[in-house]
Amino acid sequence: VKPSESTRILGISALYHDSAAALLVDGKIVAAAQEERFTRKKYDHHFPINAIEYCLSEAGIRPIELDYIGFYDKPLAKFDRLVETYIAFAPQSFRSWMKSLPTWLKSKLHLQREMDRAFRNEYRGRYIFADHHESHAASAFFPSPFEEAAILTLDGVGEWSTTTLGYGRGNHLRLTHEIRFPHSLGLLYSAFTYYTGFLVNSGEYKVMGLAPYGEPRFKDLILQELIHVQDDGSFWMDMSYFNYCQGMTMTSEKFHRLFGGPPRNPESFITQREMDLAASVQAVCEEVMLKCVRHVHKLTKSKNLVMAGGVALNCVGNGRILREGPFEKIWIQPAAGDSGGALGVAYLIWYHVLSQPRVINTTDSQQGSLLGPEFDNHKIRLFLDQADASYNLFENEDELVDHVADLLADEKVVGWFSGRMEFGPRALGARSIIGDPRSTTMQAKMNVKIKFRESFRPFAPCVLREDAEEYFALQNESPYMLLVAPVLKKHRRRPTDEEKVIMMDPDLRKRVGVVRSSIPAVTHVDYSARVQTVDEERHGRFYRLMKRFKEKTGCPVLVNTSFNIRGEPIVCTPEDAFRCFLGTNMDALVLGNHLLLKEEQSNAPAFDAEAYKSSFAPD
Amino acid sequence: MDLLAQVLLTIVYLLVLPVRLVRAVLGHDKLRLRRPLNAASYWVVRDKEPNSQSYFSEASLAEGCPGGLAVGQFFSDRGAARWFTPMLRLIARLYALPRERAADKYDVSADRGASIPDEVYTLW
Repeated sequence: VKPSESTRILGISALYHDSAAALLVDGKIVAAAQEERFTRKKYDHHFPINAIEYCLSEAGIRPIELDYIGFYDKPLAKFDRLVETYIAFAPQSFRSWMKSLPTWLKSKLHLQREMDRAFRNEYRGRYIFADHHESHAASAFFPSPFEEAAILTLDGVGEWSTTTLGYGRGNHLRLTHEIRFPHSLGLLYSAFTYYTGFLVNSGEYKVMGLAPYGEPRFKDLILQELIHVQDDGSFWMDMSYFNYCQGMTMTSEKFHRLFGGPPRNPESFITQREMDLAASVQAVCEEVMLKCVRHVHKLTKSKNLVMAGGVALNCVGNGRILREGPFEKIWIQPAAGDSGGALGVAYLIWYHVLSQPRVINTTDSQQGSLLGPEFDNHKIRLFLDQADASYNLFENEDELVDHVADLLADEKVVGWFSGRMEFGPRALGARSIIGDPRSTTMQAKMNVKIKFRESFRPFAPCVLREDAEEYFALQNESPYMLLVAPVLKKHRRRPTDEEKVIMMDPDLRKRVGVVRSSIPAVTHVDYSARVQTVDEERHGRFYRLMKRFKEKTGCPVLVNTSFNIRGEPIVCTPEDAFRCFLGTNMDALVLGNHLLLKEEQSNAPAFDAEAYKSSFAPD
Repeated sequence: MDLLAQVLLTIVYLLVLPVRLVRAVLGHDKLRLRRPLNAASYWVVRDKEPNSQSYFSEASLAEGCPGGLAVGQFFSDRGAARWFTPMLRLIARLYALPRERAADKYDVSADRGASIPDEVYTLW
């Protein structure tokens, strides 16, 4: 197959979790976005018609001008796995069979037809399908800065694979080993997410954040009863403890008996037991991840590792891989979950189907993962005038960052909306809520008054790249906030005897209040932090803002959390951002070159914040 | 889901039951539900690599191809789904929508029911 003069490839991931689209033109990423940002439904699984429209508009093309469209998995192979599972678990699988198959009969088995309908028959080419884990692998390897690398993908499940190992060099990658469904590290983690009372597919972050509060006292039990792990990282799971193959829940009664009771009710009080369960499954996950990377290193002898798949968002595990694993460098796809599959399949078409030579960017080719929509000052001003908002327009960026740095130093919480939206689950300085990490009240304020989320959840720091080693034990850069690193001892604060008692309190809100370092808002209870390193090349204005904040305060760190409230996708448009600003206790909002102060908004008191909050189901 | 589909799905499932029984008696275990006791590793080697043609197929070369049943495979450990997936795909033909969409706004032709939790839906 020969590419035309300019080759436009659209990748799609859809129908399961976090649908997305990505557009490559001549091998370069032009646009990528998740559907949830447009529909405002978190992890929206529907066919990403809005994300596709955005990607095409970014390139100024219509579907007829696309050369290839790729889908991130193989529907018939997945269907084969589903039916095989139902056969293996008959007759208990009957209810699940009757629930799941109608969607297949009506939609998923007609995927090409569905896509024709979505594109109004304007696309004249053929559709391409890649294996789910190959899409993950491609999303990790091809945009990475490595000529060659070992590959590890870990997630819940694709078609049959749940974990794969492989190797990439130049424009080719090959997956050589796999673990097959139903044995899945991702699903083991999800089972504990479910059991500890959080929502599967979104609560995994919470389990990871909860883990440092607990002791891994169930780790041996998990390794003894639920999962058998070999020295090479491969594993087998005892499915009698789980119910996801045949039922409508993750765990079985046998699981509940083993851990002494039913799953925690969502939103009920979190006890030490849940914290210990979280610590235990986290410890098991890290152990498997470390064994897998040692094994893939042994197989490939590479110095570099790339990773993708939902489990690769486990930043604590990633941090340990970097510190304790055999690889010199690692690179993780920022959209490591299913959304990144859209990018992966597009790359596979460019390199594997079209055999194009690979151009390697020494930083990486992900462009800071800032691949979504951007709104210029003209559009923003039109919106603000329409919304009757009060704002200051700064023609000069220097004045803007100076003003915002002052606000931050004054412990104000600022919504920061600038440039292209992030692709992937992390806010990286384009759609972020930021604050001063030195404040002892910032974490509680942001959690309870702005994000409206659980008080135990830690916030992440962003730090100027050149100053990262001054604050964190981090050897690599971490531009995508995918690595957890310890805060350096010189910045830690020893707790008083009274605080040591508080740190044992069953009420997590009290534990969170203990000041642990010179940057308490971003220091977790175990002195760890999920670090984003910020550099001028990738982050532009955001870097200059941080630099100015450092000049004023001596601190090169900011709190950086996603611009949304609990259950809401990260904001996409100025409208989304303004609504979030009015609906929360945020003090200021930056929209491009415009600065809005809450106290100056005449329409703020009339805004129905409760209706806004309740429009998003808690995740 | 309409009554016809429910009836057809129930009939196919009734066919699944004896197959399940026979496979259990013969000790077939494609999902490795029984722990392989003497295995030193649980890694499965992927011996087939996708090629430029296989990318055009919705079936997977690397992860097993559900293309129908070859003679002698029914009672083998290669899985019984290959016998049922063609039946189900045949039933699915009843529900194939026209390629043209009537409405200005695209909406998917089928969606999951509200009672299906996310954790299991993502496996389906």
